Order: sequence, then structure tokens, then C-alpha cells
Amino acid sequence: MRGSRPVWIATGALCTVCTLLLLAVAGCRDTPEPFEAMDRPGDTSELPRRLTFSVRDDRAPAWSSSGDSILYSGEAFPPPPAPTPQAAPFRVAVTGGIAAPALANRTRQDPGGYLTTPVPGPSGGLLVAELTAILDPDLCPGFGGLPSEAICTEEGLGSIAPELTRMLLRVEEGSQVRTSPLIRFDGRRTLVDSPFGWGITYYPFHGHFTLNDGLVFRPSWSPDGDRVVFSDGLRLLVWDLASGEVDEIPGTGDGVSPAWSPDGEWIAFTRLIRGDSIVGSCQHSFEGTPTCSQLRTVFPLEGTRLELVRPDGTGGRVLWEGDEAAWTPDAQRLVYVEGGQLWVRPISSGAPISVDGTEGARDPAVSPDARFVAFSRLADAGTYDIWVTRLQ
Amino acid sequence: MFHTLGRHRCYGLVIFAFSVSFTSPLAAQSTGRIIGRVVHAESRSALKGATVRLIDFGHTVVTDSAGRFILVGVPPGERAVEVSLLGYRSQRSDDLLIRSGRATDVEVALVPEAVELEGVVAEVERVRLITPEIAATHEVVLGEDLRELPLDAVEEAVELVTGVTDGRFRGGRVGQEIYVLDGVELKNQFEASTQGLGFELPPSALEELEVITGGMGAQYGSALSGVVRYQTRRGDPGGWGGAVNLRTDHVAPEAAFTGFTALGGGVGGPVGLLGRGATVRADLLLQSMHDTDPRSRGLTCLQEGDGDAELDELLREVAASGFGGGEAPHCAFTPRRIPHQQGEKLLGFVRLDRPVGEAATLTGTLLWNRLQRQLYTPEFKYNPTYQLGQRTRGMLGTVALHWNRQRSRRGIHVATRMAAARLDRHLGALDPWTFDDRNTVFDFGLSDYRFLGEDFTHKPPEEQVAAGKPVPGYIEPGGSVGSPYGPAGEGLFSTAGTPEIANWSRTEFLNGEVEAELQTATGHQIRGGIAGRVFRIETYENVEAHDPSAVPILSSFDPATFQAFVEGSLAATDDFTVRVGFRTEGFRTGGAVPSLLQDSILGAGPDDWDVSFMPRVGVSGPIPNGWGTTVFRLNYAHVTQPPDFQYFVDTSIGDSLRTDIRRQGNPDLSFERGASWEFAVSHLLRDERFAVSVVGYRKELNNLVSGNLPIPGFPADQFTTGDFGTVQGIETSFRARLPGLHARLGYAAQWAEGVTSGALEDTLRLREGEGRREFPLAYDRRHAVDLALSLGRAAGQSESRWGVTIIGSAKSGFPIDLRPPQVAGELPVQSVDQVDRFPWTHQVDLRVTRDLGSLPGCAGCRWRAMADVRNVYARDNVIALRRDVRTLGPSVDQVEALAVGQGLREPIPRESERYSALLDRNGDGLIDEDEYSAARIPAALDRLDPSLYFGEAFQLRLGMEVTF
Repeated sequence: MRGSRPVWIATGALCTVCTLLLLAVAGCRDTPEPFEAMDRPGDTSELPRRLTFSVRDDRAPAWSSSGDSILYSGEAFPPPPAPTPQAAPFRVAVTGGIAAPALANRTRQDPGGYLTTPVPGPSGGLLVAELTAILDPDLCPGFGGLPSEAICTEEGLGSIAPELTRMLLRVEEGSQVRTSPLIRFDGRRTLVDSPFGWGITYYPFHGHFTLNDGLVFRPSWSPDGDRVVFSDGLRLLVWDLASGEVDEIPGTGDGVSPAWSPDGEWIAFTRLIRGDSIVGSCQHSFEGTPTCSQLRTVFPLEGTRLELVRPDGTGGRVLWEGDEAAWTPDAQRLVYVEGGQLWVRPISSGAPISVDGTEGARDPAVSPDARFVAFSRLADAGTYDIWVTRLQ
Repeated sequence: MFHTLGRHRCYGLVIFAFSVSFTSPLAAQSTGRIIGRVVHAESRSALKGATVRLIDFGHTVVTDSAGRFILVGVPPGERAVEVSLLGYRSQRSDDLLIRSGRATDVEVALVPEAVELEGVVAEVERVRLITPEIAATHEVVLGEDLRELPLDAVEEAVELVTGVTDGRFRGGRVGQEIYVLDGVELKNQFEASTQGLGFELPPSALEELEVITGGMGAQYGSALSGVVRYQTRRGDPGGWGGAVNLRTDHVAPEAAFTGFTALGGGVGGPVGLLGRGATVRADLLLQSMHDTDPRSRGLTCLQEGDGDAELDELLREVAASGFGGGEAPHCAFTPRRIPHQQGEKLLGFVRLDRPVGEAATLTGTLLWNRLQRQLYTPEFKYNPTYQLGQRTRGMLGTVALHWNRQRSRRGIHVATRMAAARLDRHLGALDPWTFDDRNTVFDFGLSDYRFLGEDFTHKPPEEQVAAGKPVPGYIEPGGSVGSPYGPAGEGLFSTAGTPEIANWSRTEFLNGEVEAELQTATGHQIRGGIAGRVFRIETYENVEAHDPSAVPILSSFDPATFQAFVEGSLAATDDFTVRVGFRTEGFRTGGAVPSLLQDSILGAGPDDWDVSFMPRVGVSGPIPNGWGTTVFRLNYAHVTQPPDFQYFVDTSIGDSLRTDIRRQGNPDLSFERGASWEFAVSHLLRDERFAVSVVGYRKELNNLVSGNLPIPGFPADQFTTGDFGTVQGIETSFRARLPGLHARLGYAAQWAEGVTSGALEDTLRLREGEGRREFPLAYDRRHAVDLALSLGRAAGQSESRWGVTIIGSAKSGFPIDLRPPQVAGELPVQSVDQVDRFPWTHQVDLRVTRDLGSLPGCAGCRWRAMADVRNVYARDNVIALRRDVRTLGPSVDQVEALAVGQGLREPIPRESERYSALLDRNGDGLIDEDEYSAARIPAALDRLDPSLYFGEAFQLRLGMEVTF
């Protein structure tokens, strides 16, 4: 219908009508909702709670500063086509779920090395230990990686065949990476003027490392985030991040698995008890052909004992039998491994209390609110997984 | 008093005081003309010296001694004409319907001033059922009728024409038709065969739509199979008016809801600032759609009966497996609306007309389009972030100068037109911003969809290659979580990553043409014109955009075309019309391809012109000694069209999901040619209110470029431009125009067949008969029935408040070949029995309107309510089948082959991103091989869902329209 009236009158009327109509459909229905994946069950309140199920080792749990997730070291799966195992740090929510890589470019399928014992720093950054496996576990030159058989003169000499490592501590924060000097553990030495071209000494930490799969070098942050204490298997060392220097803590021989107390006063650690040494020779052969001889000295491990020492090496104090101690946030108690389970005990006085549901547990780590403890546990498949339970 | 002219006594419509008819061959002009005679009301003697004036436009002419006159260059639409002569009472008609390219024939009877006559009721029948003087097979839909149809796009109205199905005109392939907008020939010469015209008009902008399927005049160049002619509306110089309407299905029941909202309308009127007689008209259409292509079964999954008995058994086994806990584990996600099909349409059109002096009119138009949508793909349906999408932006501007010279018995009309256009299309992975952060109102946003790396893909290819990185944002598709099948969906569903393709094209052209015609008051006409068009075409494609080493194909060339024609039309005695035309046309590929990084097909030299000459002849008139209401027409035309320019750069382009026609390139880059004959008879019945027409035609298609189905055992995988085929058919239509009822029923039967040959075969030898085998062309739809029925107000019955329009169609299926798996070491068996057909499809659409009178608060406004129903019977029309088994469902072998994955290297633990609790049936936190395999079959079944194999969904849209 035509009209000569001003257009704006008609337009205004139209706008009004249209607006009303639009309001009428204001309950506009949404677009089709895309499928939302429900890949896994949500939070379960059941404790102890298993967080990882991998058929490969997951070890060394550590709490995030917020306490809502746990970092751990997980071996790659499916295994990459590498000659040695690889592992990378991951982060999983304390309620379970997907474990995401904790470091960029370190994926589950391609960790790019063996990175273990992730520990978040007090002021940011993630501390990890990068282990480099030596391909010649028996130190037989020229036959690196090939299977060989050792025939030894003394019983017990051949029971230890560690994959000796070198270690590098790394602190990664974004694109910034700081590394410690290279730490060697091999105990290897060249024998001069001897029919045995090579000699090797097996200290207690070797046996501990091999037989119990212990992460004996475990680094631990000082509360101020300036230093890191760790072990090279024979002693405790402190890496000063500012200077880059690594210094030994006096009086910590055979000290492993250190843990710096939250108040900074103490370092708890495991003292490996040496037994009497055994000395003898071993003849290595490959498919029946002798390849080399070694002179071996083995110090067997007779036990583990928890001790305290101040960072400067003073005030050493023997606590009790146990291993792999972890501090509670108030720096008054330790959670530790003894007799194949976890215990909690005040460092001053008091009886140990077992932590329920931690049979087979290793590597305890206490949550920032002291309510939970994370740990690794041997599963039926013979590998470790990460668990969490309540700390009484 | 107006009367019909005597020379149309046989076919003139029921005329009372004022009547019109159309008398001239078709033309592509954007103006019409009025041919008439002024007589004394009583004596019927001719009146010389009467002044005939076209009100509002200044066209004036004086009758000759025989009382005859002609007015040329009349703008189409309802026009007012006044006839005056000293001593007589002036006569005026305000709603004389003028149609572009046509003559409106009138007889005006003047009454002496001294004579007192009773007033005469002016009943106007403005659309004739048959047009004996027009030597073409065509159908016209007036804009006002078009707007009564329950359609979403103008193109859907074209489908209602007998002989047109699914964009194919009389058995030709898509793209063998041309479009004419206000006289300017438009064709998406780059990729018409895959993308159509590329431009779309708001329905409200149309004055009329005409579809020509046979007997195209010499003016129409690249129309191998048909012409679609749009005539747009101009502003009314008499005052402002317009309409706005809103339709939506958001208020419809869930079963009829697909997420459609459309706001459209237009306004026009005089613009005094631009001079006397200047007018402007603007139209706009905004559409938002949750599902741009709603399918009748929605996002469905395989059901029993979709395949063979073996598949049914497999479905039952899967249901019994317990996986997923439901009865149909392979149907984990089946909303009725298909997700990732969201889209928008923005169409705008502005037209400006301004008289230039007494004899000329300048017209400028601007059309802009933006169509953007997601493209649902089954493999990405579980991807929460990335989807494939396409955006088309078009801008077309035209300027036309029409000059008229009037004499009493003849008129000269010269039109000069310039047009410039740009058509941009981008296909690729959508930037998630598009749906996460883009501002929208009612799902419609003003901003464009964004695509990943769009800017990067427009850099010079050398820079892209030198960058050595993937197209920014593109990620290798894959993912093993996010689907209902967890890791078992790996390789079947891309739940992560992006679609791989990044593709764009830009077509620009500049068109210039001059056309002149001389018309006489007795209906003779001679016309001629020349036109030239230069293109600039750029294309880009990277089919592995996530791969930094992928080399994109970027081509750039400058084709050109020219056309010239001359055509004479003689209106002989007894209404015989003879039309003879001649046309020449040429094209060149145009220039080098400097940026091409990979091989492309470039056959002809870039600067070589390929030229074609073609005669066209048409005769129409009454059957001699017939019953006085029977007319015939006979047409012969030689037609050619340049190949789609995409053949310059593509060697193989998939046509569609359904037919899998492979366009094999055009190594010669030559014209596609054809010759067509048609003979038609039309007959009027019962006071000329009913008409029946029968048309028989035969069309030869040469240099097919593409066409046949690839028949197993025949070397059809490579076509040559020597291939040829034929289409022959019969079309019948029945029309009725009664008070309050308009109806049209059409039936078309056709046979389209062609040879299948290989690159090493001489098809010319085949033409002679030796070894020649013909198969149905891929677009050979044998039977099609169309119905359009208008009742009440929709049929022009203004006293009725209700209007009803029903349109329906029933079509037999396109052919489909069978591709059984080939046995190793054995040649496929040749058999024409391998060709089958898709099932028939049926659809009925309905519009009901109710006039609500004056709009409260706006006395000059009227409003009405409307309801559109699409696919009234909610029929599941099957439009696609699997080629190898000819069913909706796959064979079990196919399912199992797809289900074979890479397997598990080791169990998947719960903390893995690949873990899915659904697969972990025993809840041990690990997915083992057995659990993985159990989910793989339902995942494969889901991947093979037939969602896109169905026609349109049942939909209900409610709306309101206000006119003022």
C-alpha cells in the first residue's frame, strides 16, 4: 500500500511491530549442542584413590603449590622406539583425570629423555632430574648394550648390575632453563698396572637403586627457592642456583633421598647402612667368548635410617629406621616408608602411626594442607602407579 | 475506455474496459513497451492526434492517422497511462502491468465529452495463459506472486518451472544456464558448474522472474540449457511504500524447528533531491539458520532396513553387545538438527533510477551478498572446536542508460550497460572466534566469519612456501578422544585438529554492452547488440594446509569473452511471428599463470580466441484453420558456451556426494556446444481460463566435458571434449486462472544419454556407430511433476482475507551406477544393468496467510500473519545412496574394513587423554585390546551415518508482514 506520509512514521511502526515480534521469540532456542565427550568418571571421594593406571612406572609424586594436582614422573607409553626407557613429568588432578605434560615439548609419547622427580619450586619453575642411562651397565668396553654374562669369583658380586647414570638437575620456567653441573655416579675407575683393566665399586646406593628402584637422588627445594639439596648416592649436595656451585654437606656420607624441611631448618635424609665389603673379580663373556675382566668391590646395603642435619652440616641427629621421608607442612612430622607401608611420626617425640591403605607405598609426598599424602605403589602388573589417600 | 486490439482477437483474454496482452519476441531488455491504438468509443474509428502519456515518467507520444502508437523504454511494473484528446474525456489506467522485454498491447476507447456513459468496471486480466507470439518456452513468476510462495530463496521458484529440476535445465548440467539481471547477463563463469550463480537477490527486490527452458533468442549467449531472467523493482515515483516481514520457527514445536529466522523487506519511493522523477528502492534480507540444510531425518544413524539383511544382523549384534549401554550404540549422538550447519545470509539490493532529459533514464544498481555457513562433515561432527565453513561475498554494481526515441508508429530504444562484480569465496577451517566470540543477535551477526590463516593464504605463494610453516591455525586432524567411542573412534572421527583444506577464489569482471532495438506499432522488431567482458580470476588451494611442506596451488589468469547478436522479429499476418537471429561468441583463456606452483591444465594458448557462430530461428502462431484457440511454436537453436574457467586449473572436481560425477577437465578448453529443436502446441479451454501445453524437444550436447556416470568396465574415468550426448523429452503443463484460484500442473519426461569414452578413444569414430555405447547422463531425471496452487488472496482475490499457496513436486530419481568391489586380477564386467536410479521424491510446501487489516497505530499500514510449512507430509526423501550397494547403509564388509584400526600397542590407562570410560567395560582403569575392538564396529557404523542422504525436513515457520 502506498502512502505519502513521512517514511519515518511507517518505519517507526514497523520497527515497533518487529521488536514486539522479536520479543515474542526472545526465548530463542539455542543452536544444536555439539557432542560433549564424557570420557571418564568424575571425582570420586573414595580413598585411597588411584590416579594413574599405566602399565609403566609412575613415580615420585609431588604436590602442586595449590594442592589441587599432583606432579609425577611417568614413563612413556606406548614406549617410544628408544634404546632405554624414557619418562617425563606429568600433572594429574587430585580427583583423577587426564595427566597432562608438566613441561612443554615433553609428551607422553616422546618425553625426549628420562626426566624424573618433578618438584615445583616455591617461587615458580619446575625442578626435575634428568637421568642419562649408561649403555654399558657392566662397564665392559666395546660391548656397550650387548648382553653379556658375568662369572664372578665371589658370591654376591654378580648380583648387582646397575644401569649407572649421570644426572643433571634442571629448573624450567617457561622458556628459561637452568641446569646444574653434571653429576656422575658410576664409581668406575681405571686400574693401573693390573690385569683387570677396569675396576668398579658398588656402594650401597647402587643396590638400593637397583633392587628397590629407589629415586635416591631425589632433589628438594629450600623454602626460599634459592638452593636445592640432592644426593649423588654417596653424600648430600646443595646446588646454589645463584652461583651455580654444588657443595657437599659434611657428615652426610651415604645419604640419599633428602627432604628440606618447610621451615628451612632441617634436611631429613636416608642414611644407607654399609655392610662389610666383598672384593673379587668377574669375567664377562658374550656368547661364550670372554670379553673383559673386572675387579669388583661391593658394599652391601644392610639397612636404612632416617636422620636430620642442618643445611650447613651441623646438628646431625639420628631419628629411626625408615626411608624416603617427606615433611608435613608444619615441619613437625615426617611421613616415611618402613616395612612396606607409610608411617607418620613427629620428629620430636611420639610413636609412629601407620597410614591406612598404603601397603606397598613408596615416594610419599604430603599435600600443602597436610590432609592428604600422595605416593606411588606397586601394581599387579609389577609397575608403580600414583595414589593419594588421607593423612590422619 | 480501453479494449484489446483486434489482431489478437483469437487469444485475447476476457477483456472488459481495459485489457493487455504481450506481443513481441522475448528480449533481455530491462524495459518494456506499450503498443496500442486509440479509437472512438462508439464508432470504433481511429483517433488521430490523441496524446498518450506515461504518468510519472514523462514518456509521451501522439497517435498516427490509424490511431496507433508505441511507447518504448517503459519501466516494468504497474504503470499509469493517460490518453487524452481535445473533445474527449481522458482515459486513465493506474495498474497497467509492464513487463521487461515485452510489449503490452492496449486499445483505448475515448468517449466524447458530450456523451454521458455509465462508468465501466475495469477488470484487468494481466497475465495470459499462453502467448502465441512468443517463440520460446518460458514461465513467468511475477514478483507479487513470488512473495506468496513458501520459499526461502528465489532459486527455489525456478525449480517450480517444468523442465527444471535440481538446478538442471532440460537434462543439462548445473551451470549450463545463464542469469540475466535487469538486462545484464550474469554467469559465474569460473565455477558455475559447482557453485551456481554465486549471487542471490532478496525476493522482495523482484518485479518478475522469468525462466526460459527452450527457444532462447540470439541475445542469450552462454545459455546452453536455460535462462533465468530477473527484473528488479524500482521505486514508485508516486510515493513511498514498502513492506517488512519476519518469519521464524523459534516458536514452532520442536518437531518442526530447525532454527530459521528471516527478516526481510524493502522500501522505495521518489527522491526529490536527485531530480524530478528520480526514485530509489532498497531491499534487504537477513537470514540466520541453525541448520542451513535441514534434512528430514536430522543427524540420524543407520537403522535396520537401511542396508541388507547382513547389516541388520550386525546392528542387532552391536545392540546386544552392551557397549554404550543403549539399544543402538552406534547412535550415540543423534539430535534432530544437524550440528555444525549454522549459517547466515545477508542480501542487500539498492536501485536508483533517474531521468536524464526527456528521452533517457539512468539506472544504477548495487547488489551485495554474504552467505556464510558451516559445512557439516561426519568425520568432524565430534570436533568441539574446528569445523569446515564457507563464505561467499559478492558485490555487483551496474549502471545502465536507456535512451528512447518515440514516433507514432515506431520507437527506438538504446541501452548501454556497464557492470562490475567481485565474487569472493573462501572454503576452509573456521576460526573458533566465529562461534565463540562473534557478536550476534538472533544468531545473526554483522561481521564476517573468520577462517584460519586467511590472510596468510592471500600472500604470494613464494612467501608461503618460504615461510616453511603450515597455514596459521591449521592443525593436523586426528584425535583419539572426544567422540563417544574414545580411542576406538581414532581415525574415524577427527575430534582434534582442523579440516585440511584452505581454498579461496576471487572472480572479478567488468562488463560493457550496447544494445539497440527498433520496434514498430505493428509488432515488428529488429535488435542487435555487442558485449564484452574481461575477467580477473585468482584461485588458491592447499589441500593439506596443516603440512608445512604442502605446496599450495595458486593460479591467476585473465580470460575474456565477447558476444554480438542481431535478431529480427516479424509479426506476420494472422499473428504469426517469425524470429531469426544470429549470434557470435568468443572467449580466450587469458594470459599466463604466473603464480602457479603446480601443474595445471592449460591447453589452448592464453591469447588464442575461440570463436563460435550460431543461428537461431523461431516461429510461432496459431494453428492454421485450428479451433481458434490453439497455437504452436517451433524453435531451432545452435548454442555454445565457454567452459567454466575452473577447468583451466582443475583436472578433477567431485560434483556431489550423490552422483560423484567427476569433471575431468577440458583439455581443449573449447566451447561446449549444442543444437536444440523444440515444437510446442498450446490450447486454451473454457473461455480461455484453462490452458494446456505440450512441448517436445531434442537437444544435442557436444564437447560434454563431463556428464556420464562412470560405468564399470568402460573407460569413463577420463573424458574428452569430444564426448557427446542427447537429451529428448516431452513437457506438458496445465494452467487455470479462475477467480480466487490459480493453478499450474506440469509434467516433464526426459531421456538424457551420452557416450562414455576414454582419453585414448576417438569419439568421432564412436559417433559413426562403431562401438558406440550410450548411458544415462548423470543428470538424467526421467520424470518430474510440479504443482503450484494459489487460493483466495494469494490468487489475487482481494476481498478474501485468507490466502493459501501450495507447491508440490514429485520426481523420479537420478541415475546411479553400481561399483562393486573389483576382484583383483579381473576386469570389471561391462553391463548397462549396472545403472540404476534413485527412488522417487515427493514434497509439498504450504503457505497460509491471513490479512489482519490496518495496523493499529498506522492507518496507512496493513499487516498479515503467515505460516509456512515445508515438507508438509514430513516425508523422508532419499536423495543419495551408497554407490557400491545402492542402499543407505553400507555393506558389512565396508563397516568391518573401516573398523580395522591400528589397534593398541598397549592398554590405555585412565590418565591418558585417549582413555574413555565407556570402553573400559571392566572398570580396571585400562582399555585393553578386546574393549577397544568391541567399540570399533559401532564407531564405524556411526561414521557411515546417512544423515546427508535425505531431502528437506518438515518445518513450520510463523511470521508477520507489514506493508505500508
